[in-house]
Amino acid sequence: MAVPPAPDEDPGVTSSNPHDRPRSPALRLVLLGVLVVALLASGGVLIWLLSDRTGEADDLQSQRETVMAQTEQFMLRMGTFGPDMLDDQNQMPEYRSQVKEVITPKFETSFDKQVVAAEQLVAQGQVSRKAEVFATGVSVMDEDSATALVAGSFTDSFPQGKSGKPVPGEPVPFRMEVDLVKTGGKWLVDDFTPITGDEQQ
Amino acid sequence: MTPTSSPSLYDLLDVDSTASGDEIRAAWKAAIAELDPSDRRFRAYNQAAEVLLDPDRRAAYDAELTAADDEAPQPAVAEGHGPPPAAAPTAVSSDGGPGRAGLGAHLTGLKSRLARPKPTAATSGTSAGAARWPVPSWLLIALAVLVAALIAGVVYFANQPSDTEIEESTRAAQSAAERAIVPVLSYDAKTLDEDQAAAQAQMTSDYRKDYDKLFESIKENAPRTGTVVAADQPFASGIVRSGEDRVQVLLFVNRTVTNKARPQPVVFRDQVTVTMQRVGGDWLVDDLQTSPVAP
Repeated sequence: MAVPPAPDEDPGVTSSNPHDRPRSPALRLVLLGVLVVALLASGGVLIWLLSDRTGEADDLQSQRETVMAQTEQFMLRMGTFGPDMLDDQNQMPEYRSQVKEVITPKFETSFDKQVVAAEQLVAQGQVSRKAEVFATGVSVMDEDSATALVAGSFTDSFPQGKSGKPVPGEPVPFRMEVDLVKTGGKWLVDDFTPITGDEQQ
Repeated sequence: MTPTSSPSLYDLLDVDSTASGDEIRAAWKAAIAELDPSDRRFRAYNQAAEVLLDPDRRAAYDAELTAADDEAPQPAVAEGHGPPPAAAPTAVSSDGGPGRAGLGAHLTGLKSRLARPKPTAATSGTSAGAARWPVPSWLLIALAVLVAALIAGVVYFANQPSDTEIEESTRAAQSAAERAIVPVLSYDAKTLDEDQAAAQAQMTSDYRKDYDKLFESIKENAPRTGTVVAADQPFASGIVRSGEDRVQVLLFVNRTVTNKARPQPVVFRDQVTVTMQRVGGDWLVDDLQTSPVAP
């Protein structure tokens, strides 16, 4: 034919596709509306779900493990020393620096006083100490402070006999409550206290 | 085929000018089959069929076609789906009469109006709006895919514990561990069966098997030694690992032990890492880890 049928004149209105019936555009418009509503609804629900799944619990557990690891390091470093760490002035500079890496400047003040007694004990009695950590946990924690629990034992060794070979004694258990603060993004030990529970008996 | 530059009634029904009445009727039926009666094309097809199915009117119409062709030959329109000639409306105003060119222009204009509804009509209903702004298939498909992806995300995250749920579960497990540790660590040589039952109530079925093995040896020895173990309520506890269904808790607990050989109480200062498992709505002990230490 010289002139095509009217429906074919404007492809924007209808098409030669047999499935594009005159009602199809309206149906498509309805379908579009349904999909938009579904999109908004599902998007809203997803945002609501994600708002309480920001990984905060994972971050908290990560911080908890960092606190436990730092607490363990503190107990191991503070509770492990011996004559081999003494220098010419009968001091243990390596011991001091290792401990100071994991404590706050405030705690350094009291540590510097205590370490003198330990150095004298090591120098005079050739005593060595080894710490072992059994378990750690975190009882309280917020953004910049935490209280950790740590359990373990100290084993002291004394030179015996003519050879002076150090002989380990019985392990002495400990249960400590360790306070930490977050300084410059790093958890540092601020204080520690042995706890026995006897006061609650 | 009618050699005209404007569409005729034959063109409108898509039949040859020599088509029989049956052919015209069939073409007309086919043309209106899927049209709503309110559709403008429905009326145009009916009008065309009325003329062509009436022998007298058809003959008159054919004569007009012939005369119009003779009087005002138009340039040929290419075969295919080209646009209607722009000169057709001009012919109406210049001729003013019912000639071939005028009819052709009328039909062209009619078809154009049918294909392109007036703006007022376009805004008067959904169908008209849909025709004016057709929704492409790719848009529907893209939206459907997006909705499906969002729904999948909703289902996935709805099954993941929220931060609040994990925190609340962890605290609940910690409290349950503090309560459970007392019966789990305690027993009296005089009430072993009751003590065992009290402890079992705090355990998962898996851990109960391990506990029962241990308790068998206690049952063998305790009556003879007269041992009584009384665990105190934990005086300190901390979280080792949080979770929604499984939580580890460190407990500091003292146990007072007496027996025939040691009538004076001896306090054992224990540290116990308890793994709590949620079973149904209850938090139960699923494992205990401790390092025995001297009193």
